[in-house]
Amino acid sequence: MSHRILLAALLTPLLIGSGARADTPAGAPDTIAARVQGCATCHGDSGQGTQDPSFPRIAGKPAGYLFNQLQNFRDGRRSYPPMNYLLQYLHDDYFTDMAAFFASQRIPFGPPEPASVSANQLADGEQLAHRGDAAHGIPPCVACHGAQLSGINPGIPGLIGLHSRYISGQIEAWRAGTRHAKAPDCMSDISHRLSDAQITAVAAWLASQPAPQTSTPAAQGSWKTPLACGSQP
Amino acid sequence: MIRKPTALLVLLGSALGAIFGHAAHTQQAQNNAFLGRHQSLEETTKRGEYLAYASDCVACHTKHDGAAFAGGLPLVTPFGTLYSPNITPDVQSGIGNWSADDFYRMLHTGRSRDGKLLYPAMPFPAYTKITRADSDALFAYLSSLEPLAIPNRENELRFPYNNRSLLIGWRALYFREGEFKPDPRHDAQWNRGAYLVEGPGHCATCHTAINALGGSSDEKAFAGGLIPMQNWYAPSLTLNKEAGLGDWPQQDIVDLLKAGASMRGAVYGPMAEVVHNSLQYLTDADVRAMAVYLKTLPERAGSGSAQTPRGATQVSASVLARGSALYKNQCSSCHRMDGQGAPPAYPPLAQNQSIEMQSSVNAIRMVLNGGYPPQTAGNPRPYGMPPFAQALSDEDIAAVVTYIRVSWGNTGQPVSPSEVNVLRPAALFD
Amino acid sequence: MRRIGLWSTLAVLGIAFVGGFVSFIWLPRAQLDTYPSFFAAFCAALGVPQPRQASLVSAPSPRSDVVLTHDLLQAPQASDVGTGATLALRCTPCHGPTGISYANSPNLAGQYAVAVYKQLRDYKTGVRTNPVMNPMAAALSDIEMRQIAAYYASFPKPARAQLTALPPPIVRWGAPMRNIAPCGSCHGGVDHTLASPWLNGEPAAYLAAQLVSFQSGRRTNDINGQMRAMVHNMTPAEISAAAAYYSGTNLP
Repeated sequence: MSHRILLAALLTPLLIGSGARADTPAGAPDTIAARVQGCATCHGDSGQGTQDPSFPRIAGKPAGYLFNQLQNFRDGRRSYPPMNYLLQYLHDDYFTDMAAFFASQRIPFGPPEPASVSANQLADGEQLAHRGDAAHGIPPCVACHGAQLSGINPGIPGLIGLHSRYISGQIEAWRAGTRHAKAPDCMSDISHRLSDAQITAVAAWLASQPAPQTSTPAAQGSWKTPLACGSQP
Repeated sequence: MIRKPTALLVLLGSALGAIFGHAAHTQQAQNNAFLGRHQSLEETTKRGEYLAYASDCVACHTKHDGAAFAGGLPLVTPFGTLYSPNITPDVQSGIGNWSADDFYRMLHTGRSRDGKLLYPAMPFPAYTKITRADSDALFAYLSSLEPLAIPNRENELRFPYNNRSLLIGWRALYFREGEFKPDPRHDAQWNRGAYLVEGPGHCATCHTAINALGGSSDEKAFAGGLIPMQNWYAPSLTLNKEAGLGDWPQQDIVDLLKAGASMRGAVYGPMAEVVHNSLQYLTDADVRAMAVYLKTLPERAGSGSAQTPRGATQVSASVLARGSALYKNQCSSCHRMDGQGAPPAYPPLAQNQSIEMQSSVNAIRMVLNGGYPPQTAGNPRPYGMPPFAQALSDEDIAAVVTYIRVSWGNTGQPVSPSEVNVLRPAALFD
Repeated sequence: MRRIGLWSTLAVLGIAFVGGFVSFIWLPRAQLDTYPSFFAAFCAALGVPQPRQASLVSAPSPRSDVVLTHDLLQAPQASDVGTGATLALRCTPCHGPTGISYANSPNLAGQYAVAVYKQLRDYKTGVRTNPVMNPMAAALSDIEMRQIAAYYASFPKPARAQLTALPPPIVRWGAPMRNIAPCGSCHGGVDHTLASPWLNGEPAAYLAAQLVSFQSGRRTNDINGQMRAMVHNMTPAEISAAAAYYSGTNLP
């Protein structure tokens, strides 16, 4: 009996603590997670993305890649007014913390996007992703983005879990010259070598892929990429 | 015993020393007259740098991804677009050929070195109050910058505004030349605050209603106004119902201006830029002085004149219900069901003047666009509010903003979906 | 009598010589843009039949289903611009925050609402193809397309970069012998035909790419094949000149 009372006495503070939500007199949690709620309505509260194809999944992406994108939006190398506005007066040290937070999120992937292209096109996309197009100087996606397309630290993102419209939009933005990465901008080069049909095919194939076995980005320097990229030392 | 030749030499030496010393002293005195108060050039330059922060020159004289002070920022006005000039000491494109006199005349009278009248996009009606010594310090600082040979871009003003002689009339109506005169009825701290707010800080330039001619009346100074083209409302600093600071604790004002976040709320929109680029660099004493001055601004009816308090009973029940449900799902996790928030991280919404004021522009824009307060030394890891424009319809946003404006004893008025709709295209970038 | 005969003979010969010079030398030289060589122009002047031009449309091509009438999009709702603004956020990564792309994507600021609406409809049905515009448009309803069109139409129209440049001949006069109308007859600044887009300020690379696309028959959503007919006989130099003339932007 006395053990139970003791146990109850010990556990009660925990119970009260876990039951308390926004209406306790405590201040805001002093965590990065609380601070980046500014990202939640578009990217999901842990960066897992939403149904809206305009906004990518950022959970589990390499911290260096996320840092670069935060900088790109603040400095205008990528254009999207809500992002440009939110990040305008924030500095690199905070970006490092934000990037580290989202990079460390391990959130399960949602179901893959149903393919809206023909089987032939999907096959073309798979061909491009795994074997590239040597005739046009296009390396396979896996050569830089990883065998499981989970990315490499610090700067190359994974490509699974993104909507096809987001992928084709970003490749097109590179091709049109409205998205920029650090020089040498390898994605810009590649985007100019891709045909319209190839962009459609590879975006559809990537979006239709199920969650990889391991979604952790590979360690920096674990293999050499075929193109020199300013974002990947 | 001093020998005669030695004595003569000593006399000669001291005479010469006196002559040269006097000459040098005169030259130094002339330099000091230029530099002000017998300071070294280095000290003056440092003081000028501080004043450049206080005047926020960099905000207009820097293009978005351009070099600081090299100009080129487009200033979109209802009269056309102006491009800020290069104010680095480059001889071709900048102020390399200017003298301290030229610079003072420009600040004080609104005339450029070549005599042409400046458009009041350059807030010379406020900068006219800057003292000669401060102007010289600013000039010394700008002259110490690296000269950048970046050419200036021609203004694109529509006819007839591209004719500078129209400014003669504008100046007659809206410009009163004159350095700041300390008010002997107030102490040094108040006067310092008044100088900073009315002169370098040029706060009235935004916080006063602007008429169709781009001018503003002295009676309405600080009484609030919608910033044209940017579509933010710069609240009245005189009315306690708006951003009037009469009942704010001084520390909250200092926190708001210097750190960007206080127990009463955080800065957003154009004020985030002001804190980030200007006010966060001022000393505590100066910001405190500004707070002292701002608290004494007399209440004035401006464009945001006193509203009739309207309680929750005058809002449709369905709107309130919709707003309440949305608030619970989307807002309460940070701002709490009782609207108290968790300041300084999550601003309170209850009795928050930004929410209650007659203009609904800022409240609606916060919901549409969200925002992060600026990162400052006093707020190094700001808490952010997410944007809801892409997630909520006009009716939803109107409902939740109405709910917030009338709940917890707030005396704001309801907002309509069309008020939300017209703010969706508002510019988000600089 | 003999003297009058001499002068009249000389006069006839003179007229014949002048007529021959004009018909067989001067005019053929002026039409070297229409004929492959001076010899071909000379022979054509003599009356030798010239090979006919190849048929413009060799195979059936997908056709737009957009029916353009003058009251289309004439009555936008008051809320269209605002709603369109939020919808158009997804367009900004390529088309810029204010509808000016500062790169090779077409500028949409100030574009006629009907032109934007027609292109979105054609992207949705696949009559016009682009890897990102097809899925973008597929996700939009008809009302959303109208709202986006109204939003972009609410901006001021961009100007050309070189405001004082004289139009090149192909823009100014077209080439009547080759069935090319001057561009301004449809794309003019003062008035324009329905759904002909505003061209001033568009990126040169984009304009040139579209002209080439029409010429090769890859782009087929032009009304009644008019653009394909126009560009069919344009030379590459003329395409570059027209694109360069209309291009650039005066906006920051």
